[in-house]
Amino acid sequence: MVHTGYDPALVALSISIAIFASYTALDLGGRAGRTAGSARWGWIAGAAAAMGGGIWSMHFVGMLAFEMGMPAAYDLATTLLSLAIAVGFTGAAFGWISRRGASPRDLLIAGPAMGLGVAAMHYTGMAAMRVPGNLAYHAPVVAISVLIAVTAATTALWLTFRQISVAQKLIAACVMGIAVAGMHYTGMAAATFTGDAAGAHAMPSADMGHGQQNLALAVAGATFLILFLAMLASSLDQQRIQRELRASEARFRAAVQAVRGVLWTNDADGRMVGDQPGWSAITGQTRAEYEGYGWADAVHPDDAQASVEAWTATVRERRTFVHEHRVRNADGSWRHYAIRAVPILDARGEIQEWVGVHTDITEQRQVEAELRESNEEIQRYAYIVSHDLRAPLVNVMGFTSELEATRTEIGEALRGHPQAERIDADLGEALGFIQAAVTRMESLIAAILKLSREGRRNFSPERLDMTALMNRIADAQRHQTEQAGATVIVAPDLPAITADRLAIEQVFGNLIDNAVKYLDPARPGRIEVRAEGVGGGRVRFSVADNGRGIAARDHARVFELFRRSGAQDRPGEGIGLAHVKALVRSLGGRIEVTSELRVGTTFSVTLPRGTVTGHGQDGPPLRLAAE
Amino acid sequence: MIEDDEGHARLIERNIRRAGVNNAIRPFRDGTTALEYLLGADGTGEVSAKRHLLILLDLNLPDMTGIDILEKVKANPHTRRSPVVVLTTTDDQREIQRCYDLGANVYITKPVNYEGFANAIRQLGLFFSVMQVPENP
Repeated sequence: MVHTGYDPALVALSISIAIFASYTALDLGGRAGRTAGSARWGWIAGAAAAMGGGIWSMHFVGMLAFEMGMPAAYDLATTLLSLAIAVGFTGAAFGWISRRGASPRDLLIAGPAMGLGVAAMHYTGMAAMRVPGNLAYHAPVVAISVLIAVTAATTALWLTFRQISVAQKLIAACVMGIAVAGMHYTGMAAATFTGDAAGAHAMPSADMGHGQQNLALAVAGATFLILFLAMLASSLDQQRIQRELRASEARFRAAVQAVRGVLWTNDADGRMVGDQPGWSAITGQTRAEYEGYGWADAVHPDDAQASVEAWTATVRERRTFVHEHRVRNADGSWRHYAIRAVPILDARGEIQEWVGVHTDITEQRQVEAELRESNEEIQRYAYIVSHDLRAPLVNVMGFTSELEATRTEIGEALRGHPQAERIDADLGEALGFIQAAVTRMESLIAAILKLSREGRRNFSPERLDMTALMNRIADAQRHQTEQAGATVIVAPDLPAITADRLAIEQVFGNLIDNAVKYLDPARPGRIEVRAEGVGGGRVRFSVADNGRGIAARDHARVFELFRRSGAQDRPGEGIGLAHVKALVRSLGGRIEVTSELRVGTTFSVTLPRGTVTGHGQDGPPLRLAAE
Repeated sequence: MIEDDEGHARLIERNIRRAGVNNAIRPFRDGTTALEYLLGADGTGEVSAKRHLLILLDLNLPDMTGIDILEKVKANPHTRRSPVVVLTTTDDQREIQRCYDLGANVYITKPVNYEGFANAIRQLGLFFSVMQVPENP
């Protein structure tokens, strides 16, 4: 048995290394939890290196602090192996626990693994020691040291990936540092050295002491330097985050001003809390008045209940809130607002708060109402005009027929007169022109009347299997199609939409009919009906032909009433496309044409998948980039 | 005959005559004078008692709609038995239903092309020539 003891300065040094290393690991590991992508693995590697390297360094200095009165040497390979074990196990544990979606149970896997790694490092390090004597272990104390290692490691991991303040981090680092050192010194206490007398005298102990202290200082110095560099990186990162946070806040404030909206926040349960300067400014409500659900008092009585119900449903379902209601402004006037609110999630996916914007759409609503009114007026006007124009037409036509009868009588009366034949021919010509003009006028008026009726028709939306519907339209026109030597190809996978059946049939019936009517005789006709989804819950259906095409200057004109394009060699009034356009607009869609002369024409009809409700689709909840 | 368009009135009269109807035809150009004739200046309708009336009614009148007249005629005990033939250019389904609900006996849409119009009126004339019109109470 040799006399053993500890160099107190080196012991203190070893403990401070452990504490500093723990703090660094906590800091870097915490940073990994808030970063995404490859940078995350950088922080995890840094934390593992700090923790594993720090523990190893603490351990090595602790060994050097041990005075056992005999010369000790270290086997380089085994010493490096012990360092690799420390960093490796710590890294694996950090990597395991910081995966996305790691559960608390994972802590019970990673923690003990890391603890065992630390214990393995310690005893590998002991084995690297070359001393002239024997080394024996007291098993129960070894077990206690392993237990301390496992407990300390599990606690360290738990703390690392939690959001904690700097003060908490400092305390945690002290506790962990002391636990790591405690494990080491418990492990040492488990060891018993039996000296070899010859060896003990082979080297002057004073030299030995100096050598150990210098080595300890060198290791400690290197460790501190590495940890210091890690902390430097960490603090630079912290500064970057704060810069970004400031920039993000400035951007946020600018965005609020830019949208001309009123911004408000609610707590996770959907209650209005805290200072809401925007809301107070428009409603004049004080904090006590709007808090909780008090804001609803400023909402129009007709809208308040629906608003509260919609809001509580949204909060329950964690959706994006899209709503409209009227709000009483501070001056007592009612203003119309569009509201959009999103939940803000924290790193764990829990709702942290709700952020919403009230946008004043009063003017927009007024303009819309005026537009609707003037549209209705135009429709009424078209109806009245076409209706009233018919009455005089009946007279023109009726008295023309009366004249026709009189003409026969004139013929009788003028019998034998030299000019009789010429007078009768002149009368006949004049009456013929009047009748032709009236017939034409009559068909034009009928077209306007039909258009104005379509505008007033009520739609009854139903779910439509568009492939079946288009095939039916194509079948109904099969006779004309076959006569023209053409084929109509309907894509088999057209998406279903919800719309008025009759209107949709009229739209596509007209388009397919036109395509068949205006084919190019130079080649066999080919008409294709396709569809593709476009953004915003809309579908673009297209009817493409390889027909004669429409000259570019006529692209807009073809949709105008009574306008036709190209050679006028087919019967028609120039009503079909005007009618189609009016219908598509009533369905909440739009129609476009692309065409090239002698190549073909494609009409694209973009329609909403469902009925128009005016509600936008929900976006994914926001996640805070920096906290 | 309550018809604001003089031309139409003339054409109707000519065609009815051609069908051989020789009864007196009294044209009215607006609702006020027509109602005055039908219900009297006092509006009681007593003037129409014992009359045999067939009313030809256009719905578009300058001072009121034909529906107002129809309503008053069918609500008055002295005139409600008189057959009312609504003759108008409108073919709005709701208006047609409303007229029959109010007690119109026939609703005819004036065809706009003259041939159809003349044909309809001639048919109407033939119809009138065999039609029994009751005496008003």
